Amino acid sequence: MSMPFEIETLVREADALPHCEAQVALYERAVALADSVNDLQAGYELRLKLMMSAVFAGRTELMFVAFSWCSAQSDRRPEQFPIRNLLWQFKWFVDNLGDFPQISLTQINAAFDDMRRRYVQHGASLHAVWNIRRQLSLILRDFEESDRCHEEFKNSRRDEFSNCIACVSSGEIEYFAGRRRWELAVESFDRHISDGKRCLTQPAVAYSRVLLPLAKLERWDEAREYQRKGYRLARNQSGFTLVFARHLYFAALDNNVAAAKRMAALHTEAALRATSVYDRMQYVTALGACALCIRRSGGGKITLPLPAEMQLADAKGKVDVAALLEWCRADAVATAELFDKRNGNSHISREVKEWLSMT
Amino acid sequence: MVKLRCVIRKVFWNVDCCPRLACRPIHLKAALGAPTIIVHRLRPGCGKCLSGKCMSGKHRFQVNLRGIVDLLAKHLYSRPELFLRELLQNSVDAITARKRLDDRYEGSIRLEIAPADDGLPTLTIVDDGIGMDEAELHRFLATIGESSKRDGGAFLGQFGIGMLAGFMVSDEIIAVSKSARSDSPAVQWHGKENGTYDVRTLAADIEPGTRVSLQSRADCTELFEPTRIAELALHFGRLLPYPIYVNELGGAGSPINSETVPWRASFKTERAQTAALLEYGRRALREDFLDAVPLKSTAGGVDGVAYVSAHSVNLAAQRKHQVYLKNMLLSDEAEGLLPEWAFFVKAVVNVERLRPTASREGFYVDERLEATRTELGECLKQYLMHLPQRDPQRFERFLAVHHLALKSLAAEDDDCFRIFIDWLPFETTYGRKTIRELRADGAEVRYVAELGQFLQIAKVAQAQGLLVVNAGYVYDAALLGRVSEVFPDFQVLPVDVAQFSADLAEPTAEQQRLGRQFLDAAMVSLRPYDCIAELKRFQPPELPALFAPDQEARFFRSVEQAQETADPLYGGILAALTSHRSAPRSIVYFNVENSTVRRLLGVGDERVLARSAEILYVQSLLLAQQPLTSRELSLLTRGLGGLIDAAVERKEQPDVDAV
Repeated sequence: MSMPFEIETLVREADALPHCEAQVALYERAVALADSVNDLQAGYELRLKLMMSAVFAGRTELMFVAFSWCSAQSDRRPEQFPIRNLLWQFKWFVDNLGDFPQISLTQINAAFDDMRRRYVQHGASLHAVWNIRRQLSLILRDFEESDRCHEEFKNSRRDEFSNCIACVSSGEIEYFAGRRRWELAVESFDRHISDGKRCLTQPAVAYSRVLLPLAKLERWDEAREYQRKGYRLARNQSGFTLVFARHLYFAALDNNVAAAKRMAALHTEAALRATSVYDRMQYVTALGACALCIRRSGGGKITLPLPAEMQLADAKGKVDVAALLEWCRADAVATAELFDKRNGNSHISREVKEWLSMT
Repeated sequence: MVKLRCVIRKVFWNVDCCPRLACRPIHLKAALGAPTIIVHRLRPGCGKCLSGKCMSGKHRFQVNLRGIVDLLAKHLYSRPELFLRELLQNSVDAITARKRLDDRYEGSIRLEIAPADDGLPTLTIVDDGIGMDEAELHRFLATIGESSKRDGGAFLGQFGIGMLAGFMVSDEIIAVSKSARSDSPAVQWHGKENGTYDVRTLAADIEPGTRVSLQSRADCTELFEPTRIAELALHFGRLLPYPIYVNELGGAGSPINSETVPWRASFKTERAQTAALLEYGRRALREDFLDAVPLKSTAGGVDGVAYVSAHSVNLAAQRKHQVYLKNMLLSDEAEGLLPEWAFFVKAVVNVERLRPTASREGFYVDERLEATRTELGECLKQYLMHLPQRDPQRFERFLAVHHLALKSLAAEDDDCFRIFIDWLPFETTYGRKTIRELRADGAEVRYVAELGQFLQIAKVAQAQGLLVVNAGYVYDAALLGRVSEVFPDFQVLPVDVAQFSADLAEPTAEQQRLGRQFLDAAMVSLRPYDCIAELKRFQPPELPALFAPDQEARFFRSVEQAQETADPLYGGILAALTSHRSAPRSIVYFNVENSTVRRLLGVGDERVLARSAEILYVQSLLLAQQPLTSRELSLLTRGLGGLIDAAVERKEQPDVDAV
């Protein structure tokens, strides 16, 4: 089988799949083949596909690597690889930087400034830029900055680089929830649902975002209904660690032991391997809340597939919930402290402790 | 800035208006780039606008009709022929309304196409429905957004914009109507695309009902061809309970929609019904399908058929269906009606009780839609569960084309898992095999859960005569992990590259002794590349070394490669990503079955051993189709250079034996 034919075969197979680990592996292999024969053009185009697949399959780290390579090619050969082709991917890159506490604020701000500069150079609207900065500021727990970006975002013009209407609408729910403006978050969600906005990830993600606000407003029946609907849409998706974390946490808050056990059994193993440190931390926190909920209901041991290195399961695969809670607490708090150190505040530690005590 | 929400579609308009200025025209620019619509706003009590007219009191917004029609044409209706559906809808609703007054009344719709001397034909749609009096003409035909049909679920048209659709293809619309509710005289409404209309009472008495006439615009005459009108009317109104006649100026004929669709007809046998459904699919959808499955749902009031595609369908594609709402075609591309795993069918259905979105491309996500989806999914599930017994040949064909759909269903549904798992095919190092075939081969099988790892070991596994299953595709690992639930005596065990490679045969004791020095030299020379060396014995003998990085090691390699070209900012970010992790060790297995490796066993020259190990290492990377980093490229050069130096030096040394 000649090289281009093999690449074409891999790509054809990958294109026919939804975004998942298998698709990522096929594109990775195609990229490796292109690189092994120094085919820059093919390597570039294949990396664009790999980036999209990696982002939606939850393999953010692969997207970072592919983007860095493409960006370098764009700088070296701007006519062959115009920066315009990367403006969309720039959003993914910058948006996910906050998820890794080892990436400093200086690096994050420099990458954001680079993104903004390129958008301005290209004549694009800053609508997408402010959207990303707003979401990033929430991860950094810089609330003043997120408010400022929200205003700038609302007053910017949409263009071809803006997120789809469904994602923009869902992002607003996230913003209000992140600012603890529970009623505004719910109102935003109501508009999102009544407008029937859909895309690859919505309304599955939107349903997960409204659960905590509804719980805080004690609108439990509505929240349960949205959990049921939203979880059904999200259940088989790749790269949904944060969505599963929200569902799991709500099940714990709602004292729905059966649902919490079921979700934990399905998603924990994959969630603990998630490359996004932030998403993993949120999931571990939710898992801890789940353990607390089970313990409060009198449960002692649960069946939970876990990586062997955790050494929490007995010979029959049963895990003691008290030990699980302690493990989750230690792991989540340690990670939260790393984020706080990078962010220069103590918000995430406080939130993790709040979640773990389910207050 | 003030935002207005358009009731037609959720288009947000930014309105430039300064509240300090009175009587200033407001320019509405639709966010999606449609033409500007000018709205004159008068300040209450001011009495005057820029035109100088005195207009005190309560006022209504006026609109630029052409602007609105352009908006509809570009953003609501996907094509201009939908005007006919809108006008048919009005007729259907008028008949339905009249039936409520008199249940003995039957109702019919006629479409008359009259040619004209100037080449611009006129289409007239005639119904004998409820009709309108003058007040109703003003209210429903000339007030945008006003509809007589919002009182409940019986009517199709609820948005009050149907008549406007006529202006997509015509510059004038004439409606003549006589109300069946009162003795008020017949009235004529004549609307123009410039936004003006006039209404007059007619002296002659006519039967209750409405006639709407449109003369084609010059650029739309193709749509007004009688055959085209008939085709469109049938496409939209095939299921309507009222006959539609298409003739030219009053000629008699059969209704065009007299045929009963096969899913509503009776057949003596199931085979006859399936044949009729497939024939209908061939005609209406212009496709040959593998099978046809009747569909029913009480929740959404759905009846219809699901056609099983005869060729494989992209799992990631959104399947679109032909959907009728209350027997009028709603969309040829409606989404969201069936469960996600049913991507292998195209449905043709009529729904009675689901709420369409304003764009008519889907339905509002509510409990009724969910219940409908569940019921329709159940129809398909029952079909699939009985297919193997009912029609084994058709099931084989289905499996060959749609095994992915079955896997999706099996992953979600326990009953389907138990029924189908034995038939489901998986990729192995010996081609595609079903679980049944794998069970026949032995009591145990191994699978690799990651596609990248499977691709690495496939050739070697095959050469060893080992069957390994590729479970890297979506659903596969989850399904394989549960096989023992149905077949407790059959073991399906996960394995990764490291385990697979570690299980390769060990060299003989003599080979280990001879190879000790080579292995030590290899370990030292490969340490800078985070790689350790081992000796193994495996097939094929032509393969001198097997490079086996795990996922983490592959990631580190790709980071190193990207850092070679990335600018300092992005290179720094990549370095930060890997800084907290210790570089994982890849393993390279040198094959003592290979003649080149065998020659190295027992060689005493350290330099030769080190350079040879480096060259074989690079060769293993190339054979594994791994791109080389700059360091590895220079390793190849250095390795070859070292061997050449060694060979030259040996040649230059005096031959001791000869002395």
